[in-house]
Amino acid sequence: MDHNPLTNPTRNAPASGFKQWVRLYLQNSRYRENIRRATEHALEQRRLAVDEIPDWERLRQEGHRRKQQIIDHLPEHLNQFIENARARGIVVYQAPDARTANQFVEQIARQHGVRRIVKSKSMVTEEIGLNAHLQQNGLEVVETDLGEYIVQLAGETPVHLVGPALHKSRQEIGQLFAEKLGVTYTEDPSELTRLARNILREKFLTADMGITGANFGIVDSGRVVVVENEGNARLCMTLPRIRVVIMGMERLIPSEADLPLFLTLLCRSATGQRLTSYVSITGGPASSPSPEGPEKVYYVVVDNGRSRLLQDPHLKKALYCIRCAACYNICPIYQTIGGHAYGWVYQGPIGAVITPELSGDQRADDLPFASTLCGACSDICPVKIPLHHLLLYQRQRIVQRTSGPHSEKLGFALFEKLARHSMLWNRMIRLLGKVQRVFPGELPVPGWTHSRIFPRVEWPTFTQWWQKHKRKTP
Amino acid sequence: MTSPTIELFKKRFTESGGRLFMPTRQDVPTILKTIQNHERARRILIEEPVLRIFPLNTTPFPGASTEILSFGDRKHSTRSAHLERLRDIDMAISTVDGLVAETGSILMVHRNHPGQWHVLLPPAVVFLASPHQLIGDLEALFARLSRELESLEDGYHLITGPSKTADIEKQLVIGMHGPRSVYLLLLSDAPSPERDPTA
Repeated sequence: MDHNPLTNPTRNAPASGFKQWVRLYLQNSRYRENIRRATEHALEQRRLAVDEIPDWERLRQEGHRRKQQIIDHLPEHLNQFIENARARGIVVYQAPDARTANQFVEQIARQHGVRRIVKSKSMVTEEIGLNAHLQQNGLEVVETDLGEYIVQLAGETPVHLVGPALHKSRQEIGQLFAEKLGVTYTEDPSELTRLARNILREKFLTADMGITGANFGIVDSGRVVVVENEGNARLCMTLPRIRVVIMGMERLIPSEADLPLFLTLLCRSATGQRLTSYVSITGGPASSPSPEGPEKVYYVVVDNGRSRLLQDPHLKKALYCIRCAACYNICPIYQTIGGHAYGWVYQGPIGAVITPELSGDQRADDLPFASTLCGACSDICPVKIPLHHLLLYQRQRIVQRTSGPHSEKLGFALFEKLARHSMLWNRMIRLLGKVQRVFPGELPVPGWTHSRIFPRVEWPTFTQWWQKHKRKTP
Repeated sequence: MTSPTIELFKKRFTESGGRLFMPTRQDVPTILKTIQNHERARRILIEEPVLRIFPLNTTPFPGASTEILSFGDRKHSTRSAHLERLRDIDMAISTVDGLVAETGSILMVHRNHPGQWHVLLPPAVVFLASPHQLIGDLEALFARLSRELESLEDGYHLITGPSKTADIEKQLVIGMHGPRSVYLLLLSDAPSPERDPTA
């Protein structure tokens, strides 16, 4: 039984590792077509929105700088944020790991006699496996973001940070609704949306507790910012008696004066909008009597491995991430294999960087190798995280830690010997060239040529050619 | 307020899916009735601050019940009674606390309204605003807000167009959980508000 909530709970992560998993998803042509269409669409929307901002590059630089200020002194900023939140009457709990975070939320629910919980999209709750924990303890948890509701009904996990169900076609969603909700089959997105709206509205009206994530926590006011289009997060945070905000401890920005910058970077990168339909900047419970709004507000600030990232001078840059998913959309690997093939909650380039640290699980070691190192992720990142450098850095750490396969070590030792001696090198290359001329088929190298083509030696080799022609050149 | 700001706001608000009218005070009842008719609204809720701008309680809507959501309700209403009252509203009429031209957004500062649910639960919302409330961009908005952030208590939010989703095959569907229709009546001859929360 797999107890690590970071892994995809739809199926157990394969013992044979990530590559096996990828092969499985590569065979699913409908899934791949849906992923391709969605990422293409998202990139185009983003491009249009970013083109409107002439000094986008300066904004990225500025976003990087302000997140750096926060992350370089995270403990101090976090204390300040918590102190300011408490001054607003908010109960703040710092959870060192997933287990304590889940237990704390469960405890809040028990304390207030909660039975039904409505929830808006939050990656950190996926990361800690909150829903499973609460459901195992007899609480009803309803995802209310349409995409999240779809994957919850399907018993799956989000395939993407911004579009949790973008791997599903309208026909699949229609069948899912017919099967799980007992409604007449339809594949019309408007009709499916209306069905979901009606079911979820009833849940909202009868929920005792609302859980949201936080896109930003504001250090100098203790408020949190939630960005969304559907209005479900606003309903989650204002309708039920009890409000719980769950956030990663790195989600901070210095002040509300930083919001124009970060809202611009986030909305345009994530959905290509100038601003999402709703941006909520919320504080504590209402100070004057009101039949609306939460009576109690809780923040659960989650570490769960983020301190491990923070301790590393390079990897801590990954904590600048504002979860826009632009790096997912642009990544040729993500475009090809889609989110579920990663087998983890965080996918794409940023997921490949942070998952080994967040999970502390060796099965995540394959992820940093799932990159062409083309650097498109670093170029598109709105806060300029040097993602492809971090991927390379993670590879280095993993190879050093696990020391890699013996054959690879032997191979590189041989390469080093040859590369240091030009005579040996030339002889080796000539020999190889001759072999390739005799056997024109592909040269198999176990474990290497499986997914690569062994390069052919040019014939004559450069040194042969040079010997012949060098006197003719002036 | 310069007219390029108004022009930009009109463009951006409309692009975000909002429907804009720029009536004189005299035209307001007619436009509201047209909207009511279009939305087939039978239960209409008007928040108290609207009455300070426009005496709507004297303008009954044909075939519809009209009620006022007042600040006093906060003290007297229980949670369940309040919810019962608001859950079946078809259309709400509300004031705004600012308009952002750059993004076509509406600012709502929570303490200035008798509640937040009424602009979220019904399928249609009509906002009344004056051109004095226009702000150029997000920078200017937050610069203004920052002066009184401490007193904003339980917070504020920005509304940009109707509730929407693109979670099924990236196809845009209007009206997911919040209002599918967002109207704005920008009163060309509105008096300056007595109390501008962002000034």
